[in-house]
Amino acid sequence: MPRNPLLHRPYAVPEAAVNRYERFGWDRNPFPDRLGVVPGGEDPRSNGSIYVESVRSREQRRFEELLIPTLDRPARSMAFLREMAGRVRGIGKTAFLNRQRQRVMTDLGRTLSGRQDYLFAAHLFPPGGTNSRKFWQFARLVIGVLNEQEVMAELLWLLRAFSGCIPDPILDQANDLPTTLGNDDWLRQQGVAVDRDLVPTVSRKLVEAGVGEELAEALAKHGHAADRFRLEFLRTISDYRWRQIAGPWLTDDFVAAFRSAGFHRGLVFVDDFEKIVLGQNTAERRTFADDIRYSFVEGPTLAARTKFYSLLWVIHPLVEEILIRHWNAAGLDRFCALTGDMAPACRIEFHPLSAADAELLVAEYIGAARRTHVNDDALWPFSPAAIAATFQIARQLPGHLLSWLNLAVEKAADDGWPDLSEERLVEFARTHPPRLLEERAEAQPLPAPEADLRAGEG
Amino acid sequence: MIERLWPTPGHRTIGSFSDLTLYADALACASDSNGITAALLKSALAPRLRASRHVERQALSTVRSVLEELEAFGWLSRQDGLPELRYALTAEGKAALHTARQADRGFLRLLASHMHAVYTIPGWFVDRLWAINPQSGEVIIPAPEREWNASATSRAEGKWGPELRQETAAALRRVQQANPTAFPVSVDDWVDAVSQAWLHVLTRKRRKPTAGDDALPWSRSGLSLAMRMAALRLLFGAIPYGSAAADIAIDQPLSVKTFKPWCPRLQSLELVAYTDWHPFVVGRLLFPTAVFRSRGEAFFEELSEIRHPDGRRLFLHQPSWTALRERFWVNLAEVYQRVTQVTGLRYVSLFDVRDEVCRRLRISPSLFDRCLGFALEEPHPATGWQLSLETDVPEDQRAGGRLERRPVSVGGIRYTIIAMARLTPA
Repeated sequence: MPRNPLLHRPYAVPEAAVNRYERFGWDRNPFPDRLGVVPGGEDPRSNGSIYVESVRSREQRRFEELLIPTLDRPARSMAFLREMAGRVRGIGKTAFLNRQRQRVMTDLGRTLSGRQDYLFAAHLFPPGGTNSRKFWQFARLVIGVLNEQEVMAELLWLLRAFSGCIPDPILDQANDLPTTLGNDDWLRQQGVAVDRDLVPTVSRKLVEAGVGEELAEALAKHGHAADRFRLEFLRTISDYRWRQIAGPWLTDDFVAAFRSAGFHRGLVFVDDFEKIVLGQNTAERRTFADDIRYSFVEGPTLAARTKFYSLLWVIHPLVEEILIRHWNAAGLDRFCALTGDMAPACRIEFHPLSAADAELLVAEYIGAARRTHVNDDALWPFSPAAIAATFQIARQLPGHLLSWLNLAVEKAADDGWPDLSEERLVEFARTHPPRLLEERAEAQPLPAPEADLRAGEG
Repeated sequence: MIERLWPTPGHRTIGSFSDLTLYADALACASDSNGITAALLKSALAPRLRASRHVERQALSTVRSVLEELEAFGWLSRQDGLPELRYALTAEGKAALHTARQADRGFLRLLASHMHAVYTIPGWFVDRLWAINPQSGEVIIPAPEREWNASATSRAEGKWGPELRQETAAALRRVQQANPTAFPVSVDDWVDAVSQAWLHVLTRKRRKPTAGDDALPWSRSGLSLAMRMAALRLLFGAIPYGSAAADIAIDQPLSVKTFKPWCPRLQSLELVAYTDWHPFVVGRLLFPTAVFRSRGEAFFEELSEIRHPDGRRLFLHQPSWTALRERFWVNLAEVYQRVTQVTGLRYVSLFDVRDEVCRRLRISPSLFDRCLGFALEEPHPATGWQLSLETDVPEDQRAGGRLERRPVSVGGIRYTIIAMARLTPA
């Protein structure tokens, strides 16, 4: 270790000497400091890992009915998740979808569907602006997400396992797939000829299944590790090339690859669909709807022929209004109606939570931060009435409630509040109301004019 | 008691222009050449700036109406016996031109008197604003929310429906929240009047009937037009809303077509001020900057030729800079801060600030420009505020109706945005 102070290497983050939340028996502020969920994030409070399944059981049941194919029930190739609270953030859509993705990906959907073949789920967040207006850009996003969320890596691990190049005893040792089948060095240590045997075999099998040679080779070489596939392959493709191949790759080549490994369906959740739609002009909306129909419903693509993908579009009423003309003009209403009598049959309705659900949620967050036993009451130091009151102030939006409670707890720690009573929270909400987005300021009365032109007229 | 009526206007139609400098230019052109024709005047009028837009050339019909109006004022006379309609400058016209060359404001006052003599609207309109809202004369004509558009479902139905009704009622509610006396009409009467006006919009004759679906009635501008028609019928008819007797002997003193040029004209004449883009109001805000009084006071400039039927005289609110200075600074700073709070920006639209300051102080936008000129000349320490004005046009003011907003012009420079900072005492 050099003694140069400029080259000091930190090796551990020291713990704070004083825990600001000791009084309440917590080892941290239990609530997230941000409104949204960041899937895959490091902070357990905002990465969706603290979750109460029972508060969304109705939506979850509906999700399974619509999108999970079982032995006795086919699934829809398209559905909507529609929030029923108006255009709001923080109602819990992303947390819900993140949870559903995890449920599917735990064992590639076998428990959920009761089938032996595989399912995958990917959760897409369009960036908005001009980067997701065209169908090829959308397809590129889906391909990127399939890689980032390790769906492709799962595919490659399976393909490697079934390639016949790895002896069964070695496969039996592979308990953690990313560090074993997804790690070339480990395989080499076990005596597998990765470059000479495994990669060419996987590549050849992919080509035989109908995947283009360029993609097959890249997948075989790098697909088992998301970072490498991104750096070595996806990033090297120019926009010009993406424009030509993004659609065909998504709807033909990847479908062939997944099917060759035993996947029978892929779920794609398109969160914030409005970010795609609002960035488009009229002609682009029409073309996009046409492309969706061509690619996934009835064009001459492998995806359409095998009904491989199920798309779940997350919408709110405004998007519905903008989209409906183009959706219907492309004939998509016959497969998945946006409005009218058929619409409820193909959508998951997302309602605001009840106050009792909010209590459960708050208790779950508190439980995850509790380190010493202080009180048997799961809600303590809050009272049910305090949670009910603040939940109303946060317009029954769980995301706003939780992130606002974070602020309140910080304030309590800073100012040394003796308790977190209802009165104190309501008072704090009056001075620091939750910042509800998309909320229009109420019209304020205009002050009276200062000059009175009729003064002195009597 | 028999109320005396306003005189019946000699003319009803006016040219659809609001740039009052055209009159002076036409008079100058007529004095330079021996008589003037519409074609001659059209070629003489240089390209000019109106609001923030560059007007390449005036239409022939505009030029014709300028000449016709000048004839009605008695400043031009027709020359007979010529194949082409030709006008010559009269003695009064010469005097008017002389005034125009001497002083802008003198010419505007002259113009106000003549316009009132011919059309009656200037005096009648000021009085009507005070009749609608006796407290302050402030009137707000409701309009739909700025991003409003009817949904696809309403469009598909093709008729007046719940969505339009809701927005109409909501527009009235917003206005009455902003100022309870600025639109004293009941919800039922209002919704009823707008629905009728909207039917007119729906069944209107279209210039190009073949140009595809008619989107106007379901757009914000369509509903906004219907609201304006309804407001004109309810509040600006011969009989004021809620009153029993007419105050003028003609049916509809103002139509949508004449209301449009009259507002900017009356604003240029410094009789009223108006804005469609007030930062805290959705709709057209109108307020008088003049008043009929029986006796004058300091801060008022009398326009003795315009008289109320009951004998009161018209006074323009024209306080001097010395009298206004302190309140101008206080209000400018207050309004700036409020707009900043709403937008979260340091540089905000000067037009927004101007509109509210004018409303509070009851001064005309031209007087605001003059005051701002004085304020800019003041040394910083004396005022406690640092004031900076810029000429960049913010993105949201580059298109649409906002282009029509009256510019703020100080020393020939058109300013668009403003920032203020409080100077801490040294």
